[in-house]
Amino acid sequence: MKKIFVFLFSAAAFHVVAQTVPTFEQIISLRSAGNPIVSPDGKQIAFTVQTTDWNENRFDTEIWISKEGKKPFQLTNTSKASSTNLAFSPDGQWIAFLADRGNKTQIYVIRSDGGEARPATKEEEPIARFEWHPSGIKLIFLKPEKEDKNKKEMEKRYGGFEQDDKEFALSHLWQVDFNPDSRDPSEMPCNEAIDSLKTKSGCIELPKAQRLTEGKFTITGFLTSPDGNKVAYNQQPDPLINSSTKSNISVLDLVTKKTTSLISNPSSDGLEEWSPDSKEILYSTSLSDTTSNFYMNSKLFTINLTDKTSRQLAKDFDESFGGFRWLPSGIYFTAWDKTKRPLYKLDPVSGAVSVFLNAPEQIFGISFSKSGDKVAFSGRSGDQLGEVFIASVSSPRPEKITNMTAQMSSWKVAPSEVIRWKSKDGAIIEGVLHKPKNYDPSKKYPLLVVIHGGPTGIDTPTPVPGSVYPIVQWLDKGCLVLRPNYRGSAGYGEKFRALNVKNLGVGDAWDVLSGVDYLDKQGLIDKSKMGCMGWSQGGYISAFLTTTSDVFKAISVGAGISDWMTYYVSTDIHPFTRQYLKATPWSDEAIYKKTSPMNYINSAKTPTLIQHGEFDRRVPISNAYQLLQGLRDKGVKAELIVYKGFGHGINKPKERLAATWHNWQWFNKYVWGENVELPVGEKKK
Amino acid sequence: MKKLIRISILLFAVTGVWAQTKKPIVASDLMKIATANQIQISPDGNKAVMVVTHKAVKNDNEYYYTRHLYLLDLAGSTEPTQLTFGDKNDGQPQWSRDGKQLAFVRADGEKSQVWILPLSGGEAHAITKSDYGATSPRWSPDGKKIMYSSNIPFYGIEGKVSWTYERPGRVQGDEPNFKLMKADEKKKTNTTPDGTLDEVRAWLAKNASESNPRVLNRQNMQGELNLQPDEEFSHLFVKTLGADDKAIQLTNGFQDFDAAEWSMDGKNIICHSRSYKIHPDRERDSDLWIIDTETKTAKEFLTWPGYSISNPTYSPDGTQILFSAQSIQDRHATQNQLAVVASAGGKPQVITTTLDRDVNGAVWSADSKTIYFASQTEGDIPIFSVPAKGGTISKIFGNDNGVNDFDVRGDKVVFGLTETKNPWEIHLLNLKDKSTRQLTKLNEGWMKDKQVISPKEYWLDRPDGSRVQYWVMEPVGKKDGVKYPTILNIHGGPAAMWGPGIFSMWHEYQLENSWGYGLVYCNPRGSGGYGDKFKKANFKDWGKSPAGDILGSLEDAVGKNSWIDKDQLFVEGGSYAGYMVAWLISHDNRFKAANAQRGVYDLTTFMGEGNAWSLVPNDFGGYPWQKETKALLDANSPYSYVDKINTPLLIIHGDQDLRTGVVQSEMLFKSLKVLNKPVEYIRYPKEGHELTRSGNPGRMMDHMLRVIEFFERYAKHPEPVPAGSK
Repeated sequence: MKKIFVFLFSAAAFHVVAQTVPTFEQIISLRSAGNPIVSPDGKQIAFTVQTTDWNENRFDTEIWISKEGKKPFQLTNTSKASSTNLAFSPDGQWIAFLADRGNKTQIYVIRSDGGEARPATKEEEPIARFEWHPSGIKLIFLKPEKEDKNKKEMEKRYGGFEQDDKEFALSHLWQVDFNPDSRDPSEMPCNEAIDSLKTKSGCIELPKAQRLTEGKFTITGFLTSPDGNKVAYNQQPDPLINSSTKSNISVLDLVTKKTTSLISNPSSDGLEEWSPDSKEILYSTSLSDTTSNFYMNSKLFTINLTDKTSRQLAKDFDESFGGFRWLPSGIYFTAWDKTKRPLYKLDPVSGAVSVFLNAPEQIFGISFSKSGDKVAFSGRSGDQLGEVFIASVSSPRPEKITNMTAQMSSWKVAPSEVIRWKSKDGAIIEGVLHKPKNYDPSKKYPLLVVIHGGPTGIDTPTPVPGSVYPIVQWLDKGCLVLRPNYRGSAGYGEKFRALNVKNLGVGDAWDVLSGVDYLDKQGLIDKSKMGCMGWSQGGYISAFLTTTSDVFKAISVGAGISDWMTYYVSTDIHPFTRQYLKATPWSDEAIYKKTSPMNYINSAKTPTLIQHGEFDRRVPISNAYQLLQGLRDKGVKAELIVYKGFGHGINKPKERLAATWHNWQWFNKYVWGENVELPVGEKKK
Repeated sequence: MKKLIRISILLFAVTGVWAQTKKPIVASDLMKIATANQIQISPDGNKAVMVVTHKAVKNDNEYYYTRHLYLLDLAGSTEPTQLTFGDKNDGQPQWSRDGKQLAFVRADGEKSQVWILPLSGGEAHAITKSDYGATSPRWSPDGKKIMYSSNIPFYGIEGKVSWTYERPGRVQGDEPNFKLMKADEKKKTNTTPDGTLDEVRAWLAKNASESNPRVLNRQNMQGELNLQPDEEFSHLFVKTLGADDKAIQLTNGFQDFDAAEWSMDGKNIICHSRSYKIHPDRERDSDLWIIDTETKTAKEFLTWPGYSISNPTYSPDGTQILFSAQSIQDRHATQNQLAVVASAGGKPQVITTTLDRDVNGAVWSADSKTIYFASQTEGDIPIFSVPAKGGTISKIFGNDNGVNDFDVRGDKVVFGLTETKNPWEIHLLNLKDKSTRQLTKLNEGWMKDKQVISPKEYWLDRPDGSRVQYWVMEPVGKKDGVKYPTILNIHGGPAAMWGPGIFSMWHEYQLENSWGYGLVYCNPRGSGGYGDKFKKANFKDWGKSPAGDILGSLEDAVGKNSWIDKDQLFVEGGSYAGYMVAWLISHDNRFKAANAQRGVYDLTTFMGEGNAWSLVPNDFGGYPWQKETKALLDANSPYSYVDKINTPLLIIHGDQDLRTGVVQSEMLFKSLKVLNKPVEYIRYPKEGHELTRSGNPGRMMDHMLRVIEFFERYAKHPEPVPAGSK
């Protein structure tokens, strides 16, 4: 026995490849899989894979497929754009998806058994989403209305101007016939017999779409009933981000074409799912709460379409939920449970919730076969990259379809552990702590704190954390990285999510600094070498720490808020501060001051890098200029880097690479005292 | 018996009514004509892939072609399935050895690349990223690699040329190679118009590298549409599938390796090539070469004194190599032959001599014993077979039709066929029981209610003993006892062949019939399809004797078809036939109007302004600076007789035609203007010599209608013409 063990051990040791630190490019080039959809018969799984196209400076999403458990292969190949929103036809022969192949976003269909995709629509407006009608001979889709013709005429005469919050396109539902045997009309030119190049009537052409809804409202989502007779949809007055609070649910009868308003609570109502018998609709709602729905749990109801009786389900479930699938065996959904995300099963009769599956540790995007015996989902455990899994529902032992984690098999990656500590006010805070691969417990390490956005985001164990922060490379350089789930984060219940109300920044800073103290008390860190960084709300908390604390040697503020009044007036989501600060600047200026980094600018000391997207509407760039000027006026080292053409996220590979380098330079300089030049010219392989 | 007669009369009456409801072919029918070629039968023989070409128009007047792969079901009867989509052009499909994938060439962006289409599902993806483009994919026998071909320009090749460098007073590599430099390298290179001679030369080289100006030092300076200052060399690459590694370059240097095929064991690649001792533009011949895929060494496999040999393919059992052979003796219009040599080496043998035709498109039988080929012959293109060891050549398919492309596997022959009744469909022939089956409905649908005119075939005995084949087509709706204007339509080449099996004129003939014209066309001496002697019979004699055959055919046709109005004759033709039209009307005044397309009119000028210039030395045995030849060229040039032209003439030429440049048509036009003769001149932008065959479909329609409209100015129709009536 012993002999064998030794042998096995040495064999394993022999196979260990020297692990290297990935380059920034390698991390940005990581392929990722997601959005699995299982075919109606449960034998095929299609999912999306995102790759990095450095030449075109974009991330490309294409559809892959695995048949009967075999190795997945790439199904779609849209050049210069992505293929998304995949859906199997009810007979499983076709996969429909959205792609812009040079002619606006259209629905394309591809046989799962061979041949390239052909268009199923030829709309003048880009299609936003679609569903197969259960009959398989129709597609129902959502697209914006035609642009006002006057607009171009106006611009010709008066040049460009736009009335704020008044100019938008409403989206409505349409349906179009799908004929599996029809050929691509562009392949079959068909003209009048005599003299004309006009298309002859009766020739093969794509069927014309028919309008299903009309009116002064916009549709944001829809679901066709399993029996194919009705379409339920979410509507709101306009597509502006703040109007989501006014969203209601209506039902269109496809046979009579009659529309019935179903749910119209004062606050937002969200369409979730049809019951398998098409008699009930599952929905979530904030009821009449329009002042705290940004952080409070929404409630789950089901309504009977015939007698309009409704029942609340999962009353005691204290977390935000989503991705509902209603099968005869029950309602399935996923939700955060601290840093885990199990798949839950809800009994539609009793309303009780139980964990259905909790391995892997995080489960997203579930999809069931028609009979409900197979479930596919994406997910991962703390030391994996996201993978696609399939499991049988009766005895769920998930099988991995993909092997994305293999990409990092020769990399030094970040080991994770979840730690918890008590904050200044006694609140228990969790965080993910990363230590270097060759961690030496006898040493004290520099500490970098990386703070997520949201505030209702969450950090979880992961081998390659980062985005624009080169965490893996810093760990290899020798430091600890802490990613705190500060108050207000998702995964810890409604109360925790409300802990930052009227206490933004102040409470967040307690949570970060108490985490630092906790690590220091354990003797883990060198407090003279610490940095802090974050994007969006994480950028805001970092800015707050720049002006209210001096424990960090360097800070990076990414797309952060520097002054809530500046933010309030110029953002596109004005209710955010009204909900979290419970006031407008004009009703309570003091709370805006108390929570704004700029209020403490006179005590700012920490060298601060500010990163911001040029056209950020969520956190407008005025916040960046305000902080920059304040710091400069106070003689604090500060730099602003503007990422040209970007909004709230750095969503292209080259600029993400640049933003990573900028953080690498900043912290290496102010935490480690090393000057790093930004390499110029083409990268050599 | 009586009953039977009544029935047949009834039938006749019904047919008569039915015929009247048929509509004439119109100009825009061009848009509906679909074609399919590059047929490849799958390894298991149950399927075939083909490239279907459609014409299309968008935004009112943007005409274009689409070329996509379609799958044919040879075993069952499923309709063809379209495999590739989009606005890219796809071609050159090749089955993987297991039949599960197709490699093909797709032009997506500037350069063509090799793509793979999995047939088990999924869209195609590119496997090559060649700077110079990739074509001619060939799967290795083990299915793991794909060989492809890429044309590398002169400046992209290292080393010295093996011939005398032809830039006068300069040495190869004596200036910076700007075309290979990156932007920053270019900047670093010292160039100035005011420096040392070296710096000035660098400055001049930089300008030339941007084609501003183009520096021409090669004999074949003209491409098809543009000047081509840079020589290109065809090289072979091998890409291992599924690996991220770059493709391996198999061949190198200033040499071309063309028409390459794997040996059956994958160890060698056979191709044609030649180690250039003179500039490649001056080298007209090639030998067979073999490349060891392991060592990447290329060497001569077969040189055959007296022959230029090319396009080798291994027999399925690997023991023999089939190739094309063209005698270099007496080069004028020599016919292409097939020959076989043992792969182990040995004496090659020509196996198609007895046919006395040009032979093309050869395919091995599965048992390596028979070779199938197509050959233009007497207006048709039949498929023939010949034993690989030589012997009796048998026609296995074809009569009054033309096989445009074919493939053979087992008992199955799949081919594209042109007939008078349908310009292009794909058919399946079973070699065992000789049964045929039409596999496509590319044109059948739109042709259902169309009136199609069938040609009548005639043979004319010429005084010198030769025989000339010609055809006559009646106008649509011809009535007895009425005379109709008639067009004499002439082909180019001069070695081309027309007939009921030739696709390129199918629509134009029918359209002219629909416009109320009768039609006469013939294959005069010099044409292909009638043997070596006939093809060479216009040597030093482009004008007089072929003109005699053509006018003889016309006169014979008039004599045998009383409906031809001999006072309303028109004549048209392109390229060599543009020449012939000018020849005829400068020697004859019988035509009411004439149209000369893309022609050559002065043979001395032709030496310079067309890439087809070598017709001059080949067909006239010398050069204009040789006194005797000069006299011959002048005597054979229509331009010498320009002042004798009295017939109203429409001249047509494509702006970018570098095969027969526009200078001559300009010369002809201007001279006729000076002479105050009725002449109109049409120039098509963006078009070359192939406008009427593969040009922009919108301009193709314009071209046909412009000729008809010109003739209409002079024609008197006995009644309203079907195509022009509402």
